[in-house]
Amino acid sequence: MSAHTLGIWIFFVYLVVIVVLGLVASRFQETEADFWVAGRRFGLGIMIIANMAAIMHGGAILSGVAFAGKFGGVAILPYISFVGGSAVIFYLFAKKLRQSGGFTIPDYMGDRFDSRGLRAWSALVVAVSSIIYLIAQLKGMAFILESLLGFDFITSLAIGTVIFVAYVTMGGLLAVVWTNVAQFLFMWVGLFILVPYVYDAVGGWTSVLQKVESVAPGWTSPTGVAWSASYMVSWYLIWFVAYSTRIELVTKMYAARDDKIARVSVPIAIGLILVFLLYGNFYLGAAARVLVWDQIASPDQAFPMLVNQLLTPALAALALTGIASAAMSTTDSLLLMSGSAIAHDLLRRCHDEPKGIQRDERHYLTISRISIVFVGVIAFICSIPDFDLILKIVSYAIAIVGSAFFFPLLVGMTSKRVSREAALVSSIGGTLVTCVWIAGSIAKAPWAGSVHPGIVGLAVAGILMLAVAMFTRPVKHDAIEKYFPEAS
Amino acid sequence: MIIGLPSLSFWMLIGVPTIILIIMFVDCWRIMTGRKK
Repeated sequence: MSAHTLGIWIFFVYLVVIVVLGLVASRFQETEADFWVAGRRFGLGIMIIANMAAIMHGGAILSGVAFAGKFGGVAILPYISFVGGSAVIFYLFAKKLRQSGGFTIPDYMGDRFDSRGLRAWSALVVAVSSIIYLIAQLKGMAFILESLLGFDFITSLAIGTVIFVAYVTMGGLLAVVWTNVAQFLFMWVGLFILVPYVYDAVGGWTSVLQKVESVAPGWTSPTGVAWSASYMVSWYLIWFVAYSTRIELVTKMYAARDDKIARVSVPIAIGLILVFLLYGNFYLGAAARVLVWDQIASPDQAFPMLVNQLLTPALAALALTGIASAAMSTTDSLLLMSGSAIAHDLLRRCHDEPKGIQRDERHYLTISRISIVFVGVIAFICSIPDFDLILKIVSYAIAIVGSAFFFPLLVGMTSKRVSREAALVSSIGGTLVTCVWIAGSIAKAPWAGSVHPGIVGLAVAGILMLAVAMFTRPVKHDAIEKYFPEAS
Repeated sequence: MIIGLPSLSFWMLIGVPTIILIIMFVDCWRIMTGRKK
């Protein structure tokens, strides 16, 4: 059997495994709560995996090795941001979100500030940002399948989209998390195969870092070979905000069995991710820089080249297919989030309930599934043309989400003083300014180039929240009681 | 030069988050044993 055929067989086994998991998970779906938050049944182990999958995936290895290999020391950048962001979720958000009993971030925004307008606005931000992200993820997955397995682009895109939509539609969050476990197993098998071969070629940490410093002076410094200190600090800040408001991660808190499990799962998951990054991005990035850098046309080829150079063809096929299989484990979470924004937040909470329309859980379960298929079809169609613009916007999507939700989450969880109007003006104002700044950056306007759009949007959101809160009345007490039970 | 990493600031970039993480782990233990609300 050729290496290529072996790769296709491994990928086929992977597809069968995740579809079977989706089918089994579909048997547990009775209510909307089963679908969106897996009936709030997750224990500590499954919560840790769900949190890790919200952040890391096979694509993170491919792009992480490329990024670390190219820039060096700044690849350690996520450490402070991850830990800072997770500390905010751990100490401030997790307990109150789980105790509030919602499903989504728009649930929090609507309940905490007693505002249907804020709920609808948040659902819109979540739906649009998730769909944009989804398009980029689907395109990325199609490129990976295309280059590693030899399928053409449209076939790869269609296979990926149909599989993701199928198991998410069948099993909701339960299917997402079960398939994440399968993806992790495939990914780690792929990574572990590589360990002895890379060690043999470049040695341990001391050896690889000394070697990389000699071929790329400055690689092991904090700013790496190309970044300035101020650029690095602005990215620390943006990623800190991005990780404390990462919707895939924050939303998982609702699925824990209780608030203790929700909280404890966050630092453990982040600790494991950091260990993963040290090996999967930093060490392999240094090894790629030493061993294969002068043989590749673009940094994205670093990991496949490293694998092909060090492993036998059969083992290389095994490793690459394992990692390609897990390439897009955040795609399913994005499908789920954009679906929940449409079915749960917009249709049920903003339309049906205010009008007194009563429907049973079966109806909402069907609507939820239709919304997932709807989002999948939109994302598929938008992924076909070669929209460079979407990929550019994606690089700023974290800034949009951060400026929409960071202050309403942070201040709303810690202060009873903040008003509905302050949250609304801060979230909308911060987001709009961020969007204008992004448009300026993409159009290469001189005023937009000096600072990241997210920093401007956050500053505006913070100022607006403070200014409006000073002149408006706090949300009435019975609406916020579940977020501040100690005051009742 | 400690295990090949030439700069102290580099170590701080790993060390500071590690310390924050350890503090969170201690708090996790306190939450699970009921010593922290």
